[in-house]
Amino acid sequence: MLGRDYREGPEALEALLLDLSRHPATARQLATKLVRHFVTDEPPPPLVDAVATRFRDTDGDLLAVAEALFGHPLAWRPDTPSKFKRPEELLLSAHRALKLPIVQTQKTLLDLSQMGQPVGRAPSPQGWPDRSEDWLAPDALYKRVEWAARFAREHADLADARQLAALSMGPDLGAATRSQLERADSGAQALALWLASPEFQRR
Amino acid sequence: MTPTMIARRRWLAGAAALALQGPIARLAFAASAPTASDGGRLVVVLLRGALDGLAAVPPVGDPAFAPLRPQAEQDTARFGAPLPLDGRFALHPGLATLHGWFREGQLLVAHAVASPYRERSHFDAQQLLESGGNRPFELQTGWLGRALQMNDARGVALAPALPLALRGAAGASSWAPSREAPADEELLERVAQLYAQDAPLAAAFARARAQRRGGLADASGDASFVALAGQAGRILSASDGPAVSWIDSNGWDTHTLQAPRLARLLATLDQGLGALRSTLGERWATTTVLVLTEFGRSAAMNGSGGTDHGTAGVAFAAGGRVAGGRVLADWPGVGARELYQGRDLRPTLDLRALIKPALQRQLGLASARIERDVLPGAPPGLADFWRA
Repeated sequence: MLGRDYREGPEALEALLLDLSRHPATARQLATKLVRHFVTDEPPPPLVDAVATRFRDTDGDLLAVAEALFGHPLAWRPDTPSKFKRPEELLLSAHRALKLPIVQTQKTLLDLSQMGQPVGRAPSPQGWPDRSEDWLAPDALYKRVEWAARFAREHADLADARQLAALSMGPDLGAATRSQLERADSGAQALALWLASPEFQRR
Repeated sequence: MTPTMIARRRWLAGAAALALQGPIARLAFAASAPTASDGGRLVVVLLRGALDGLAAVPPVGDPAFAPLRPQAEQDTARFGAPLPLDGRFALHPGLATLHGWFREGQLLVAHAVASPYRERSHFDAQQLLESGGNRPFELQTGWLGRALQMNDARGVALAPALPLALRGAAGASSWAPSREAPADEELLERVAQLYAQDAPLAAAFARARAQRRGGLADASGDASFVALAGQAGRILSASDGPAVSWIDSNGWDTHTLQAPRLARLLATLDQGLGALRSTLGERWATTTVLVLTEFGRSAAMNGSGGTDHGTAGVAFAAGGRVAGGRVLADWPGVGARELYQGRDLRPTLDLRALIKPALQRQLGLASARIERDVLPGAPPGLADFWRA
């Protein structure tokens, strides 16, 4: 196996697993998945190489691997649009922005189902697909906007969306979104627009 | 001659003596000539979890069948008697509408059919069936998506997210009823402006709004199979409607006490397909419906009144153009020595042989293109799939 003979016995499995974990293809596979998950659907090869190399050099030290990933300039290029939030991230980030605890669990679970990712019901043991095209179908986006509208109607009294958006996003809040928020006809509409905005829908 | 072949011939001879109502369908395969798409629609229903083909279409003419399902009499008392098809096979009593279609000649039943998958994982089997590859996870887009993309055609899945089968097509989208009150147009307009500078969001949002304006709004919030199937018919019946619709049906993994569950599930399937035909209206004449499942179930019942993951099962094709009224089966038999690995119905027909003619005629795809890009490595399609 892997061009090597393993002696029979219980130690063989451990030795094989160790060899598998140190195989260059393992480093590459994990690096590709990490970059796809955190940075972009089409992982740039130099970034994958950097992360894979660090994985091999440190014998899989995850903190060092994370530093290689997030410390790399390719992870932060402004011309690579950031990933869309998954439904769960969207809900959690909205609750966090409004400092709102999740108390109506059933309702939150229903919201996630409506957005296409019911909790605990991923289509396979591999979990939900990691590429946004796999779940950002038109109807799913529409459901996210509908959710934003309802969530905003229910919680508009908690915050002024204009201030909250500026506070939580700083310079990342685009001029187009800022001006839409200014022109909103109500506090609820402003909050809905912010939650539906490209800046909030993306990570 | 192997014992299996002897047993099979003996059974076929016995079946012939049953004074068959129709001729035994023989399997014939051909790369039929491509036909230009003529506005025909294709509906695919995927029964996720694996339908028990031997319960849906019991091989009542096979003497080895009865001992496998000893509680058949009790089931008949509770749920009704199986509906006869051709002397060899019958239909589960829950499928009364489909039985009517069979007698009209608009339902084709394929038995002992399977995808190329020979293991027993739902996830791998569904991935393979939806992707159209030869091994699970070999392909990352779906066969229907690739087929749509070739023709620049549109397809809609009645599901909250796009199933793998439709991935790979710019014209594929999903639709599910909403629990929400109808959205405020003013807000939607403002959101559209927000997305103006974000191309992927702008395109997806515009499509979703167009879909809803095209009669897809649904205030009932009803996401049951029957409601979704009826909605699919409404969507497809529009003259500018999509070419393809995909409907998921869940809950078919009947490991325990399957008789009452299957009675309910099959009746719902039957009612949903009836709703589809009724909302399709005149379009039924040019629509083809395929009902597929990822694999069959064990031939014998398990100790919990259910069946476990198996291999071959059944598939249905229905519609005004389908040469129905027949059960297509190169019947392998369900005797102990005939079963695949000693426990499952042995596959003798590849599911893709049914999918191919449907893609050729309903989407107007040339068989060479299907072989190259849609279903690579698939065997030839069935030759006598269509009514002459």
